[in-house]
Amino acid sequence: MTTQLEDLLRQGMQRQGDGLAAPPRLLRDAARHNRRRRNGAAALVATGVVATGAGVGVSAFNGPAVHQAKPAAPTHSSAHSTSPRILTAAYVASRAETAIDASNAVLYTRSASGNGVTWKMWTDRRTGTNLGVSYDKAGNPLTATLVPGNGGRVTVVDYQTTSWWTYVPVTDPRHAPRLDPKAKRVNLNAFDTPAQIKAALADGNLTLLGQQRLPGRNTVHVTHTFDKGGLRLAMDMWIDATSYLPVRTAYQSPQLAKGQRAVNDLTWLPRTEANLAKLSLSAPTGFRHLSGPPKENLSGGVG
Amino acid sequence: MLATRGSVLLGAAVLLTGGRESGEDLLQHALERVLRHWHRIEGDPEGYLRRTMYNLATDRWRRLGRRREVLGPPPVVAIADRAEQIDLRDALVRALAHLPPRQRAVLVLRYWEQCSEAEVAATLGCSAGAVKSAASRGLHRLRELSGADLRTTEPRIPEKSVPEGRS
Repeated sequence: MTTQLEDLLRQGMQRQGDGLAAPPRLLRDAARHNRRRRNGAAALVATGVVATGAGVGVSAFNGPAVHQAKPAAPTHSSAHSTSPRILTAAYVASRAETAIDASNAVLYTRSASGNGVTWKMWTDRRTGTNLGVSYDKAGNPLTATLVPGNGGRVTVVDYQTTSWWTYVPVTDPRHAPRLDPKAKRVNLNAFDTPAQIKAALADGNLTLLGQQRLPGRNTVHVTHTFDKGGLRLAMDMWIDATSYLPVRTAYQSPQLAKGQRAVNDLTWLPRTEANLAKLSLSAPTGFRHLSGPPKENLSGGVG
Repeated sequence: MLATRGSVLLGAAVLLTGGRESGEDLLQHALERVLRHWHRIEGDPEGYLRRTMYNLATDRWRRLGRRREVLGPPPVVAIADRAEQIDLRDALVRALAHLPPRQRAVLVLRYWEQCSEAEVAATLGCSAGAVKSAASRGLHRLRELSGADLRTTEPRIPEKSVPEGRS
């Protein structure tokens, strides 16, 4: 239950924090104070980190600071005994891409964000078929969308309007339908399918933050920075330290309130009949069949 | 880390201390601690930095005791129109200064950093029950301090959010 007080407090905090940016001098001053206190060895570590902050470029964090500070690699299986002693972002990305390519799994993604909507998504990595279902705070389904991997018609069930429709996805923007400019367009940065995650790993803007223990596993924590709609955004990713399959992503999105992030928990399910059966969608009895997407739902497809 | 998460961390520090300068001092102090122990940090440095910052803030308030910074009594306002709502939300943030350290930290983590109760508990090193209790008492106190007639609303139907390529 949300109270007006909570909403106003949240808005007030966002108003208070709006436009704040941590000046790089904080890190410089912190390091300088430490240098005065500490011996030379500690000062060396501090200087390495200062270089990261002063450079502001996120890629600088890939550099010596992490490497000097985190010499130990995460726990590897014996098959990975040739792993380098020092982890790099490039090495982690390469291992993760290989692991995704080698996986023959149905990826189950559970997403939550501060706006109360949760997503459950299943993606067959082999065929690319994808089913996504959104739920409200009470756990009632809002929409379900089945996207076949073969480029066939997309099926959408809207549980709020008790209707369903199909459409052919349009990938060529020249053939995309004209959208009502007043219609609300949603532009979510999604990182919840193997292809999207792999693309993020491959584009090079990855920073290694260190190792982190998540429930039941050791992970490597990386962050991927990217530009979207004129904004500089970041997607954090936690990669299993043994299998190198990503197990969690968290990212900002222009559609979420400031400070809110979508968090996806990723489970790589075996490609069994039972798991593949989850990738099916049919409208409940009594739902109205529309000839195409409602105007406000147009999103690069035609009915 | 500061380049990507600095604004959120500084925002938390400002809300915890009640001012921009004192917030920067708090964040810098936490950074000093993190740098000092950098070679011993296992796991997420940001998590360590955040925990350090919240602990320092709590300790600082304890140390200051009766001299705790107070930004002045928040105005008593009632909700009538949007302008007054804006006044009220600012007053609520100012009223944070009147809360005990733990309640204040819990509310900043919950409503600024959007942490779950479990994440708040992990950051502050307490139980989820203690977090729930502190949040409830903190909100109750804020309600008293603001003097506003705020009612509980039913959960709103969230807007549909659809990834690109979906309808």
